Amino acid sequence: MNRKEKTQELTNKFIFIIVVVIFALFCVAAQGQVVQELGSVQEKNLIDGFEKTKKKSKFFKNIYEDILKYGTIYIAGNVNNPYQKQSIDYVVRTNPSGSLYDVPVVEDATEYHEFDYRYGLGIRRIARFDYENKEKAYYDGTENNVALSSPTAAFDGWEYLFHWEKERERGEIFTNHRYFLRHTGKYHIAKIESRAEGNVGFEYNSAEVRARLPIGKKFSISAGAILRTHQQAFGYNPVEIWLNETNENGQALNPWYTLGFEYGYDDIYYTQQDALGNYISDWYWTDPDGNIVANTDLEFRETVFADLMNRYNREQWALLDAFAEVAPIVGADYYIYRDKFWLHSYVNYILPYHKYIQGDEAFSYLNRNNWGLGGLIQDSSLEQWDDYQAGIVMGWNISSKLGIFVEGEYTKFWDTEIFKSTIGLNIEL
Amino acid sequence: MKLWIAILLLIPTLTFSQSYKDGLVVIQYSADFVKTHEVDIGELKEVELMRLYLTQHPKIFEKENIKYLPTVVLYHNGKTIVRIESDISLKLPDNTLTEIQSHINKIVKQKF
Repeated sequence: MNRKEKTQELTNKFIFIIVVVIFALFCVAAQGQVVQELGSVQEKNLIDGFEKTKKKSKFFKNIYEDILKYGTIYIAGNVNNPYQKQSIDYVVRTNPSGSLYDVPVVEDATEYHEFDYRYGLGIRRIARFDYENKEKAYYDGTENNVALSSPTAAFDGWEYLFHWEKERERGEIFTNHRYFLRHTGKYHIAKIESRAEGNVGFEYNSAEVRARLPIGKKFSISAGAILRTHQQAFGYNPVEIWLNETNENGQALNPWYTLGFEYGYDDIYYTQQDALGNYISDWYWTDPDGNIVANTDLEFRETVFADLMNRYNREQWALLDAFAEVAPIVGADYYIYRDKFWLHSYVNYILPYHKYIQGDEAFSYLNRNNWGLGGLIQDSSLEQWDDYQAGIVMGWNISSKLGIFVEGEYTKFWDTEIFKSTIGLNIEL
Repeated sequence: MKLWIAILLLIPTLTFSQSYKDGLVVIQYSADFVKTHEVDIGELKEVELMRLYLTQHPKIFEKENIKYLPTVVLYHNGKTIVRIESDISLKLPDNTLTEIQSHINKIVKQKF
């Protein structure tokens, strides 16, 4: 089973979890309206036989209202100019009908790509926070709402986004998806997400369930557990370990050039006498088809060998299972909106109690600092880590003519740090 | 620096803090003597519901200038969207809930 199949298997498991969670939430949802400081009206809702029948008939209506209402199905596509360098590259080739010193042929060597395109389809029901404007008059799958990253939602109930797309960028074709399902209630948050961005090789799955405690109407704290996957075996560099294998005399077991042999390349020794009568000797290299790819060892190492190293690493990493780990998570969320001022801040903290449930723990992030030139350092201890995410969106219309705004989000997951921020001032003339 | 950021955030936050009117909320202002004339706001959907009694929250009634009981008000982020007051017979109009629900639907729809 290769890495792709393993990832597919993991995705299937996530889909299974999605189904289980949906079922569980359906069973326990019972999301009735709560009227605070209301006693008598609630008492009226005692269910007798008649009302039970009435409720059954309302089942499908409720399905529509709780899940489908406000949802949008979209199918969209676009076609754009491909990326093109501003300057055109030229190369000079020997005239086919002449020698090296005849007038050469000048050729355009610029890389031209076919047009870029993207087409996709999806269904979405994601509420925007009051400070967010709808980007376009329609949905085409390129939207990115704050609600997709903040722990709480702008709307209690079901929210989802199931988006699939295919795109061609600079001549390469990728398939992307984003599946997102969340149910937010006054006292709970349950979320499942799966993302794949082919053009950056990004794949991520997560599922989380949290209990939520509102403190007042603006602030809430939450705590629960999160399941996440990652593809990379952090700290593990197979080719470095392979190259550094030595025998008892300290000699390399795998001299660097033997990697070329592993992939069907061959080196051939030659000696040559120059115009001054000096003898020069080296190795020239041929590919598996017998074509010369480098005239010297140095040239081979600086060109083909670098690609072989990366190929070897990719192949070794592909032998590993995808990783999945569970950890406790806590979060806080503050939201206030007024016409003149709005503030939305949130923080998620994944505590350093990570437990791997899939993937070889030896290659997991727990061992990211335990790999040496000789492989995994013996008796090294596993290292836990903290992951966190924080975001803020603030706007303040100080007067009818003057406004300031601040937006930012910082995420640290494993060894990846992602941040974006905007700060600005608007003065209306 | 951190202190300045905290102050910057705190001042406007406190300035605009009117907790009971945050979000999308329907409040039925009522009193014990008009309980029988209340509408069943529990039928409204996709909104937070509250019932306030004059004897328990007299200051809020004064602040919100509630002159007729019962009165039902829909707020969105502190702003009054619709206010429906009872008539001389202490009754709210028959279409009170329908009208409020239509405003709620409009606001919620805009979020998606």
